[in-house]
Amino acid sequence: MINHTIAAETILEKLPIIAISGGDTAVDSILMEVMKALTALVHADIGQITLLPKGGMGEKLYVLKDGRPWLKKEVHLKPLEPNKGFTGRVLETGESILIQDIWAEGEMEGGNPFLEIAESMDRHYLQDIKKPVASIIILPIKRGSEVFCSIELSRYRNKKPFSIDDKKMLEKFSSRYGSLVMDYVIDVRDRITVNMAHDKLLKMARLIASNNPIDHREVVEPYTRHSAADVTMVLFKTGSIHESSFRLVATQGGVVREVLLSNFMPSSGSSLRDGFDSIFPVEGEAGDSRMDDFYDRIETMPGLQREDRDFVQACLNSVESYVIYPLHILGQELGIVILGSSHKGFWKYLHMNPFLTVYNSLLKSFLLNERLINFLSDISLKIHNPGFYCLGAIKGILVKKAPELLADPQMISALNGMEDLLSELHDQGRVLRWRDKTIDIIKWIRVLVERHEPKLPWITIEYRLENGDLASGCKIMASDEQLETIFENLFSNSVRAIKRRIEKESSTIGRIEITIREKDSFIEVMFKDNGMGYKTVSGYGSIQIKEEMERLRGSINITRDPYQTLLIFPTIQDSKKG
Amino acid sequence: MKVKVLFFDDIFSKLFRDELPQDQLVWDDNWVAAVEKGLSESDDRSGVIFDLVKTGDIDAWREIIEQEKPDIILIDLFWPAQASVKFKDRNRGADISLSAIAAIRNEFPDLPIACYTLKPDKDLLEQAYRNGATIFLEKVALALPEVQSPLKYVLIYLMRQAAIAKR
Repeated sequence: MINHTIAAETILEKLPIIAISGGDTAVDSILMEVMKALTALVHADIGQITLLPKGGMGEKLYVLKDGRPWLKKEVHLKPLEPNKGFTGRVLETGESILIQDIWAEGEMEGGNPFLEIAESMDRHYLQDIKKPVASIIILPIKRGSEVFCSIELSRYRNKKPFSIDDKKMLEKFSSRYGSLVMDYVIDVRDRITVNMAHDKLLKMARLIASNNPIDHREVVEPYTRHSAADVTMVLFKTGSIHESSFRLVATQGGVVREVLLSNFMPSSGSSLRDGFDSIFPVEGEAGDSRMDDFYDRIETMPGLQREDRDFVQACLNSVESYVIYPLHILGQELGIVILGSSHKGFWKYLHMNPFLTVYNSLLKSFLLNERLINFLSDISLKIHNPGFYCLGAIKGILVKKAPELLADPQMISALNGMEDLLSELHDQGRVLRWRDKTIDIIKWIRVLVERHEPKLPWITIEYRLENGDLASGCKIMASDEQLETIFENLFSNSVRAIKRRIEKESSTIGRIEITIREKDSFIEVMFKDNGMGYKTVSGYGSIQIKEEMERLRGSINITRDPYQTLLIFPTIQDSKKG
Repeated sequence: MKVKVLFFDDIFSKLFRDELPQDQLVWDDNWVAAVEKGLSESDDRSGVIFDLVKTGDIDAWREIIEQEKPDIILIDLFWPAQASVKFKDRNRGADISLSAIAAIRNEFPDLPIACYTLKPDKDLLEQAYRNGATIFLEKVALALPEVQSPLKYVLIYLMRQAAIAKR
């Protein structure tokens, strides 16, 4: 029979290996191990972990039902009133609790606290997690005397209720290991959150520093991942100065759809306008005039595909409360971010956290840059055509019809002035031209390796030049941001693959090999690791590498068994050495 | 003598013409008319008749060259509308023509290529020659056939040089 010591040992043995695998699934993996061990210990059907921050609202961290995770990532349950229900009693007394039937009227002296709050609970949660069960045990997890977390285990109604022995067994586990395990989980969660936020900010910073086209789905993702919104809708202003079109990226339940709203003139008072009396962020709810107007506009919008219209309307229908943040900056109306929830009155949880606030500011800055560059580019084009041709035509007409005017110093001066003006404006437009930088790829990779080595002490990074002279370098046309995107993605893929192998074979020593070869007018960089295949979350990293290699007019070749990536960069022959 | 000139200019491309309103396109079209007239007056003076094939479909250079079998290529260097689509950056307009020039030179090593641009600079001149242009010229925006006419003597010179090279 499994006892609490074996359960604890199993968990403690597995935790560090799962944690090292990193990624945003690590916390869920750890919690699943914990819940599987505890549900197995007392033959429970459902297990839940709830965080109870001091003075804040309770947050369901993990729910396991019939051995499977029940709480989905994109579903945000209503936060719990921690002082209510049976959990409230546990928090108040600091003692674990065993209830024979949570639905029984007289289950506890002074009334059944669960029945008092059942109606206010999320209906899916109530239906799936509470309705089928009768007997529950709630355990407090403490730091000293302070309860910061609770674990709830339940059995289905048709099964024998939990016994005092079950409760004692769980209490032993909880008092010995509960705090240790949960502190570890919270620590890993915080670390992963910080890493992900850092990664998103870095990506945005690289986007700002590049001339790459914006991937609207990608830039919207952090709003979905790092907010309490079930529905995210971001509208980006697009098109020229003379037209009002918007690109809408809507996300719900893991589905993302991009819809172009052509000739969409915002209504008066719309958040898409940045009027002098506009106040942001806006809070609203289902049925208000703003939501109804938008719904009607989508309903009657010509040219929308049926699937797009249905999806956007389904998103709007599921929103009970929402907040709107602007993407407007310096008087430029650039769009809005709508964070919606299926819960009523959810505003205080929907507001952007500090990370999203910073991210939103960076996105605004990027959109403003992009807009200004587009406008200046348009102006530059107009100067080129028809500006110069128009001036050429005037001169032609003068030559034909009034050649004597061309001898007039005032006319010459005016024409020359116009020519100079157009030339100057044309040259100013060219200032914004993207200039490739030359980078010594060999030195650049060496610095990159030196930067990564201290961060990855458990991985050996080998770096060698197979032919040619390491010291004299080799130049390619690229920007730092492009190379960072390529190599950071390769490094993170390798780290994931190595972690995966360590999970399977704990004695593995990670190794990354970078081999550089000079070949005629190319330089080949072979990137290889001793990791093993893993399930990719988005596969976006590989696409990014391919896109950047195309922009650099190079190529990429990926082979498996062993997994290795060959990058081929064209080199600059003239200034190659020295 | 007849000389077929394959004339690549973004002025003829649908992409470009869709971007500008008709009242602005008229100035570009005036210029093209002046070039055409400048070249068409040549038979009496130089004994050469220029057959101008105008196209804005730079991506289809191979098919057009194989179909038309031109004696010479005349190509504009700045294709901003195409660059906007291909690179999302109008300022890379020259990259469109430069890559086409390099590819044409690779497949048709003997075909003379005259390229021109409205606002030349040293870098562009160097790149055009490096990619295989036979001659680099400044585009004169003046819509006067008399001003455009000297272009025909440049083209005649290139034809003669190509003929010498073939011997």
